[in-house]
Amino acid sequence: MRLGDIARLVRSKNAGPFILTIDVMVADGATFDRVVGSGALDPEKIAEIYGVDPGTIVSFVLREALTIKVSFPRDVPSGSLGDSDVYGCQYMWRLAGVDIDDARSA
Amino acid sequence: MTGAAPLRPVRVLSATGMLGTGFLEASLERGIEMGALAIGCDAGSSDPGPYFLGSGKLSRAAKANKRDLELIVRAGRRAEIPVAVGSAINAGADAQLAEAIRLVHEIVAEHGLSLQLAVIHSELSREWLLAANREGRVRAMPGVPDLDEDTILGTAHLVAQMGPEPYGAAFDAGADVVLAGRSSDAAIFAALAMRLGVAAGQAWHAGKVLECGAAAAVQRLHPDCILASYDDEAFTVELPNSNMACSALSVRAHGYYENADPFHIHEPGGMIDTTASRYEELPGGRVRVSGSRFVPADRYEIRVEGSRLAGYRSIAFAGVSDPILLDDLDNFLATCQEQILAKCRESLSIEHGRDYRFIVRRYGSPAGVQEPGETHKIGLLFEVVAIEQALARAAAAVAVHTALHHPVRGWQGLVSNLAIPFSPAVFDGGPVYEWSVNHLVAIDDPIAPFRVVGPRQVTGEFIDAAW
Repeated sequence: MRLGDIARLVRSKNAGPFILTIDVMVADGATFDRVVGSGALDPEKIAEIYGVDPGTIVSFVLREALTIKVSFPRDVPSGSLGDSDVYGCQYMWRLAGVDIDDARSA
Repeated sequence: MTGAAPLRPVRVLSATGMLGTGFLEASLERGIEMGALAIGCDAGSSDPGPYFLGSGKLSRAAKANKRDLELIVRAGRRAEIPVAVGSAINAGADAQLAEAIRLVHEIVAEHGLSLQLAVIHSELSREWLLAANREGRVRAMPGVPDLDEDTILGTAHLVAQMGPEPYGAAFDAGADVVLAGRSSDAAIFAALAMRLGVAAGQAWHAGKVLECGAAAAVQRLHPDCILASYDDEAFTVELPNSNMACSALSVRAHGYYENADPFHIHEPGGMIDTTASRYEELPGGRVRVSGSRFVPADRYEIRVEGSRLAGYRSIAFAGVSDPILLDDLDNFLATCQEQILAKCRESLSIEHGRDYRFIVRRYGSPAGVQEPGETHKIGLLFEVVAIEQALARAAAAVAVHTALHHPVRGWQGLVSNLAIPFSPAVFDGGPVYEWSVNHLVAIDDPIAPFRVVGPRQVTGEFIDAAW
């Protein structure tokens, strides 16, 4: 089961030109616990799928809002040479495609 | 405030999330009917990238900006309430601010309006930032390298995000309409609310919700207005357009949008703290938010943005569907690139890395069968950024012509590989900019860096030098 199939919304956007922020929003507490429990949003997993230093990842697990937010520095600042996503909005595909039944990193 | 007769409830209307993206005239009218005491609108953002600050150009057509600005200014005059437009327009550089001032002059002339306009500049000199840097008052935003003098000197345009204080000064001096350069989005609305006596915590957090217009709705059908009402302990948001509604979750979740930390939102002069904020749904798609705080910082810091010229770009785009080529795509592109770099050196005397950069972006998967409706199986976007436009164009033309006939492993004879959609194949993109400054600067006076012009009566034609 992909995270994107079970979540209400997975979106990414710049938080300023140098930082990417990803929101994962689910419909209910049971799904929230399942997603958090899967490890798909652990810093180690985010680091692995996005190729970032885990020490640069900032996460918020917000059960009252049924939202998990992870942020990390962009690989390339918005609009810099070599960028392919000025708004940062299509970085989300890697996380949306993670298999939450098999997410624990090696 | 004890012993006084109850005042009109304080309400501030946000016209839309971004000037020029539109809103329903009926929604704006409804917001005025509902008792708005001020109208604000955010007119800029750094989201579209460094090009707009670097070039001073506008991202949305003058006509689109004018349509929105005209409705806002006229509504403000009819209701005799203040109007604030911030980050006008796009990046808030002086050239873009001048465009906004020009539009207001046209609107005044066309509709016979009488208004006192104040303009607040946000563009800074390189010398200002050099001095701040030497004095140790500069620190980098997360993920940003520290500033050095060469970077400052190489920056094309610098602006700083102003807080509410310059707006307050302009309105205190008698402005009906304030056009401001680069501003903190929330500060535009915090300024309006605080002038009406609203406490900082509510004023700022409401500002954060208002600045995106109807984006805080459960389902935003189109860009539109949003209204905040303030009482002693809370603010309540609602959409004048009854086809859209807010929920506790939609308003809370909106605070997450484009923020890395949903609980601590740094602003000029302090931080919005939403850790204790409570979101209560009220009938009619309204949400009441209480418990929000504004925590003043020990040092007043403003965020400075700067953009520098990185070169000139030309591009070409082509489709490829040949399955024999696609079976060997990685090798094809790698060997083709070697040829391109060699030909650029031979024919144009330019070196990759020194004089230009060549990048190929692939779109689509080479594997599998081409589907009906796909123009071609994959797309190749060739990009050259060079020290001069003519060199970028020439190198992009070399890239296209080389790739067009580059040999394909598996075919014998002269091949043609690219489905080029246009004549000419190469498009000049003009100057390319990069963010060079995204730093916090500590200042003593929240108004001093931001030159306030006016208020003065708008008459006659717009003369740039007068503002």
